[in-house]
Amino acid sequence: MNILGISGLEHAMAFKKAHWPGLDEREYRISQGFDAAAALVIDGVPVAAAAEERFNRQKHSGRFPVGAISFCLGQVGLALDDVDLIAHSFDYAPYRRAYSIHPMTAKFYDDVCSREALLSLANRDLPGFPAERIQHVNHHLSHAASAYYTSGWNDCLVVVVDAMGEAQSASVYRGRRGKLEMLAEISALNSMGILYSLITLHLGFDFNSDEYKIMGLAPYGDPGRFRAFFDEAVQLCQDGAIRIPMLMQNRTREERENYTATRHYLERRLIRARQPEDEITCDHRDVAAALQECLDRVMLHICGHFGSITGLRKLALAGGVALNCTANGCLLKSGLFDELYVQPAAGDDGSALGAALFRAAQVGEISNVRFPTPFLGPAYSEDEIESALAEFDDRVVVHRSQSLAATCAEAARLIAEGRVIAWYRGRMEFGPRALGHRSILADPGRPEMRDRINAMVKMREAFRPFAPAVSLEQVHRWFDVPVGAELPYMITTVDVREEFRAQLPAITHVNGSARVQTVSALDNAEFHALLKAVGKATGREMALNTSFNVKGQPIVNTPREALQTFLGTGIEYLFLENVLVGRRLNATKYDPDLVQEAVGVLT
Amino acid sequence: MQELDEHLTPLISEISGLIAERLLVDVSAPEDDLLATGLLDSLSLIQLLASLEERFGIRVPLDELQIEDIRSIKSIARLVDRQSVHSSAARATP
Repeated sequence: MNILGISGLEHAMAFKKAHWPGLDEREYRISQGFDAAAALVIDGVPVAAAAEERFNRQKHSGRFPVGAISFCLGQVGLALDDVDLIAHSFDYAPYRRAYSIHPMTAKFYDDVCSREALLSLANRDLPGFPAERIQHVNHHLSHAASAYYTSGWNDCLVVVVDAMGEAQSASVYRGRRGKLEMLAEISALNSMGILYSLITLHLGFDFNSDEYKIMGLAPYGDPGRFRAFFDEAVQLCQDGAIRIPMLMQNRTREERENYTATRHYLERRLIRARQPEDEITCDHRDVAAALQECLDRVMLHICGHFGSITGLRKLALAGGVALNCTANGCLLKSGLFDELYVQPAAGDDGSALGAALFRAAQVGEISNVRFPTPFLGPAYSEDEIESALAEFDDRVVVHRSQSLAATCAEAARLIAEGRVIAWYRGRMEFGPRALGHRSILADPGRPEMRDRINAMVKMREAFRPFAPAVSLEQVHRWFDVPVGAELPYMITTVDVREEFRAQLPAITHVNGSARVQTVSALDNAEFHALLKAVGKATGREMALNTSFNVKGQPIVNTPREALQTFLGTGIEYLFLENVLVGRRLNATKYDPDLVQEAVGVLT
Repeated sequence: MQELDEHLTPLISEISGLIAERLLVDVSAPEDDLLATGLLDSLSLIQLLASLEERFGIRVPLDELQIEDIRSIKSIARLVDRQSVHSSAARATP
């Protein structure tokens, strides 16, 4: 069967803006249904997947994913009519009665969550597609399916943790013999994901977006100072659940919608809210540290409890909280499980894949092999690259290599020289990480590189760490992992070996950890070839790897976007497949207009 | 009706305790309108039903729920009472 999974709730943000006017722009992100995406599964195999943000260039876009759908179908030459089923990764119908208890929530249900709302969007963007071929899958079940049916495991524990699905914040399943059995769920009233996001907002960052920055800030702080606050705030229950009383302080509709009572409590009992333009102080770092420690504790508690009662030693994770590399690293190191698999598109983009996989499993089409590095997005032809280059002809110089080997040798030489390069090849990654097809790369051994890339290339907060990509053959040399440990998704922190921390200043976090990505010849061959070439030039088959975008911009998709971003930033060279692109001497190094265009509607 | 409901008193007390414990909501009187006062919203209602099912071993399918059945602690007690009888009858059926 040809099954198209989709995610996102297009009207959620608009509904909030219409019914809760006058909020701070950042408060409108206390909402749901972001990260719309489409994923095409044919006879049980994922063949194409991408987030809508990569097409409409609005970060975390929740719009009905018509651009992503169009790409998925075009990738394999299918017409819309060839799609047997569309599966949406939300199913609110069982909760309709609960929403009907108040006119406002009833309207929210009708306008945002209902089947009718989805069908109306489908009718607008996919006219003529039969309604009876559009189905719904429970949100956490979609996440769980995305993890279980790509884990390659027959029998494992599957844990989903996010802000909330229809009504839950965490769900625990056992995946066995191709079926998912629900073991427990935790209400959204006790959502660790929402607490993490509220404190992200309190610290001056964006709810439902910037949580990874708080994770990055945490190691700079002292968790001890606010440990007691979080120990009291998040209670661990004997049955594996958690309770977060401060989230239940919200009594009125307004309080519940925007968590105002909780946020006042944080203001009174934790620290004053930081505005985005305010300096980051030790208060903020210490809160981030204690919050992260709290999340680590919660994940160990939930996963550990259900691992213990089931006896399962393999853990598969998904849901937005599973993007927290530090908590994943804690689980990996804990000894509670022998193996950990985090589905790399763990956020709501991945729920689109999960919804499709769940329906495929129902008709017995799943083979359940381990997800390769998820290069499921668009690739662009040589003609399309040449056409984009022609557009910027007055600003760039190009050198065309004849082979991958020559391109890798040249890129490796530049990296070894201390240059910052962009590396663009093949199909775009599915999920939030650039894994070697839309990446900015540099030498991790240079102490100035972190600040330089943060300031001049990514234009983002100075404290943010960078991740290393390293060949599978060498990962154990530099990092505290067993020989051949595969961590291909850059979604788990591990420790840099103590003796190498000083030599790897650009990727070693202040606590000695790194969000490592292992690269194998098997499923990431071209990037592997590059790292091998880097190894010849620097002695380390390793590069600093960060996503090819600037702050606030989705990762580049097309060659044109790659050129725009390249020209608008301090990236020194760009490799578009085997074409090396540099700036013309008379071109200004940074072109603010191009950055504006690249960032698009967000600026 | 007053007398008929007297046997519900222990149940009312238990449900009040359950709501206080799970939802951190203190309801002053069993007749208080939980919906009009906003003490219950959609999420807390879903959590309440799950808690009732767990505590009393009953089934309260959300899609069959009558809103009047959860309007007050007293009406919830009647619902639990009815469902418990049904559950017992079902269990007794060979």
